[in-house]
Amino acid sequence: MRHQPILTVNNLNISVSTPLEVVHPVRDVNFALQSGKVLGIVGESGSGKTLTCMSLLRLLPENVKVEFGSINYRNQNLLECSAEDIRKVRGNDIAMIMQNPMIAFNPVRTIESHFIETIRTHLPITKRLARKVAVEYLEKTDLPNPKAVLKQYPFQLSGGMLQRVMIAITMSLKPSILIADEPTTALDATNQLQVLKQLDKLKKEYNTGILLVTHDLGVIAQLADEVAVMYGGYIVEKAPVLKLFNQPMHPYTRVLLESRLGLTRKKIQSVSPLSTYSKNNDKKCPFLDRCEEANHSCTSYNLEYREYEKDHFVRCVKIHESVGN
Amino acid sequence: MSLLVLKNIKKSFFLKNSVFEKRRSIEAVKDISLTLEQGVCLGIVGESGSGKSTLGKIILGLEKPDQGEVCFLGKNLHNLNSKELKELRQNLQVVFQDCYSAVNPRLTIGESIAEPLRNYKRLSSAEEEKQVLELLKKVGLRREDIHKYPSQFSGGQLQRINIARAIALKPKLIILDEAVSALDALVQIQILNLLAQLKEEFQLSYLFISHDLQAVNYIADCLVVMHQGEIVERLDDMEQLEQLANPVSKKLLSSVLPPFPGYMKCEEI
Amino acid sequence: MKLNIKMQRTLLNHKLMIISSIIILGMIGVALFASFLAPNDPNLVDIAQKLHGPSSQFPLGTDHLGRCILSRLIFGTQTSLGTAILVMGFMMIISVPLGIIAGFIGGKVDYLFMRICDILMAFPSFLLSLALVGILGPGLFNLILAMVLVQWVFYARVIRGMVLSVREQNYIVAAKICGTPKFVIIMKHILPAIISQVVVLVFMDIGGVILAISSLSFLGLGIQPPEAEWGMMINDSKSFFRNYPSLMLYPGIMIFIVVIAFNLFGEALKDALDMKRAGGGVE
Repeated sequence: MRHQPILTVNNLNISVSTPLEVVHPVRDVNFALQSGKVLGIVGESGSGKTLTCMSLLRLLPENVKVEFGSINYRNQNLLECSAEDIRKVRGNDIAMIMQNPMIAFNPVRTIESHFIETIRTHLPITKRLARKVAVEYLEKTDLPNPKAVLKQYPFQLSGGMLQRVMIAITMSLKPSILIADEPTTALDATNQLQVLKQLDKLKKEYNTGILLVTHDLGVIAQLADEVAVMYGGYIVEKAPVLKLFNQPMHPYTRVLLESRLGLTRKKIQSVSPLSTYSKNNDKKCPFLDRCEEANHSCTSYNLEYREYEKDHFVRCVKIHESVGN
Repeated sequence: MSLLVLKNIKKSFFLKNSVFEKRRSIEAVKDISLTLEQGVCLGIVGESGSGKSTLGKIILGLEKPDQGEVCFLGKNLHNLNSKELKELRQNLQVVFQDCYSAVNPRLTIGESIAEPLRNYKRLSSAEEEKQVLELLKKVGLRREDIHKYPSQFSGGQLQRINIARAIALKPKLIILDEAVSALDALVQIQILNLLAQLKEEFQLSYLFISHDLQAVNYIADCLVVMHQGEIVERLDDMEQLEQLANPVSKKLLSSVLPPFPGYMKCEEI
Repeated sequence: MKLNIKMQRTLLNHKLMIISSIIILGMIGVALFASFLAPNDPNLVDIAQKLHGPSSQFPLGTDHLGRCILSRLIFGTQTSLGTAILVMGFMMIISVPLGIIAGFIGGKVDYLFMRICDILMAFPSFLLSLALVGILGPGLFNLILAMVLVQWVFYARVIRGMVLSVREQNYIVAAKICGTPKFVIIMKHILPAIISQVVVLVFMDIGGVILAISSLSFLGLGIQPPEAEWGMMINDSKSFFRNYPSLMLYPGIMIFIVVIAFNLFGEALKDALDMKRAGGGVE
């Protein structure tokens, strides 16, 4: 059974202009997100995953711009619609939670006032009703004593609790899409699990499509239905989660999977420490310098992105060769 | 003689809430005793707010404990005059979580790494450069990096620089306060492997403070679990990690995400 | 390619910076070479020549005592600018070390320092200087003393704030741990981190100091006649304002230009340093 995706990103290219040069941190990115599904994007810092997220809501800084490509949300191209339209989409339809919940809240206002303000900007309801909604959604987070939490100030709560409050606020708006940019990176393990549970609930109860950006494969394994691996601005491999974990094809994906820490004490070989992305516009495999399997055919590779099996895309010439034409 | 002995350390902080309320205090560390031998890596795990970072600061001499004593190399760290303390500091170094703010952005990498050398040894500039280059090589950076500034490096590389500065004086103990927590998965492995290798080479002892049981498990030889300022469990043999019995330890264990999809922790209530 | 807004702002800044620094350098040049540039003796009284219009001998005319206005303006640059720089310099000599010590050492030292600040800042600073000069008696030295004694707290507090934000950086803690002496930490890590902000502060405020000196001189409490000073020139001309407005206008314009030039320069410097910092973060 295949649903129509609610968000499709086609051929997204982003450029950043610095006083010295113009660099292209996101190149040729394609993906689609369906309701009630989680698309995970994995990549290290600098791979372009955060910029991709920001571009979806047109939140890019002024020296960063989308060169070409399209972002379609329910027949609406978000890159071309008016500022008023994008404002309506933000929060109502597409919500976003960030890595550091501490700086997302105003420290001098209570959780309740954040909650009510957000609800009332998007829904035409009274303050009293908004307060009821706030309690209702906060109860769903399994946070102990939700009514007391509402009266507290952000600094009185821990990072994990704040992140859960953040998700509760997001939930109350029932967005069709949630962009979660490293939602658990700043949290410790127990809090991480709580936040993941809540995201899972959001997906199941409200049929929200979640774009989960992280560098942690454990988080991906828990939540994602489909995974896109980003490296050097490109999506190098994209597959359903089980397929990606069981039959990784791109060398980078394999390296990532091999270097997972676990509760066994086996020694993990570390890959070469040098990671420099080619910043200019030349078409070169981004992983070339670190790849242990690279040979002469890699240097003249045109970075073709090919579908192997159904839904399994890879961008590596070695794989293209070994599978044959 | 043990390298580091903590005896009944206590530390509380005052909260200044408002003029009208009574001053309240929070006990960050309650009665902690520990010993650490030469060449051993002791992991300290706990949730955020369990007092593990405060303990690290007390051992470094940055915070004074309310009670108890910290004996490092047989001397009470908080009972020394500044000259003796400086002497002892040579053997006690730290690597922080936030690698970006741990190096002065206005100094070159070479100057940052040379800082501890300048404080303790009188070296000619040629000799100093030679030692810095050697340290850079040890941590896997290139010779030409010596004249670069911190903004030209990634997080993982900066953490290498911090490690280079920490081992410059060949210390006996390095406190690693969430030293790999902010790094990407691949870089984490690289840094952990580097730390393990340096430990062998220089017979270093580590105090590895982290909330990440997987990272602790990878590098530590023994482990204590902290919760609300207390040590709730000790483990001397890491092979028996699964046998941790305290509810807090169990909770930490069960929060570790399984490496493969299909085991849904999220669905357990 | 179209320039983006940030780059345009940089260029604009560049222009402002060039223009304002040319003005400032010009003024300093005028102050240094006043005796060569001035056509007449600024203090030579000749009642017969009083209140003349511009002529070849007196390019801007003469005042009520027949003194050459242009020469007085030129020598006034020397006194106004020189005094302002002296005041600023002394204030920095006091407030930079005190601010750093209070911020870095903290604890009781800081507490004591803050209470002194509170006391001094409870009074309006201009009135306090006025009162001090009143007690000490008018004169250049007393003027400088009064301004420095009253205003150093303000700068010391700002500098203390800067130090506080730097002090918590990990590299300072790391320096402590690897045995760097306190004095070296201050000189090597703290001072370089705040110095650019301090320089900006100085340039932004020196205009205000010039204005304050002129105001005090206008009130007759600063520089004493017959010494030429802009504020005092305005004071002298106030009785002839109706018939000879230009007497008041010339020194007014000078004060205006210098104050604006220093302010713009400070502003541009601030933006330039901010840009540098932001640029460093992008890498």
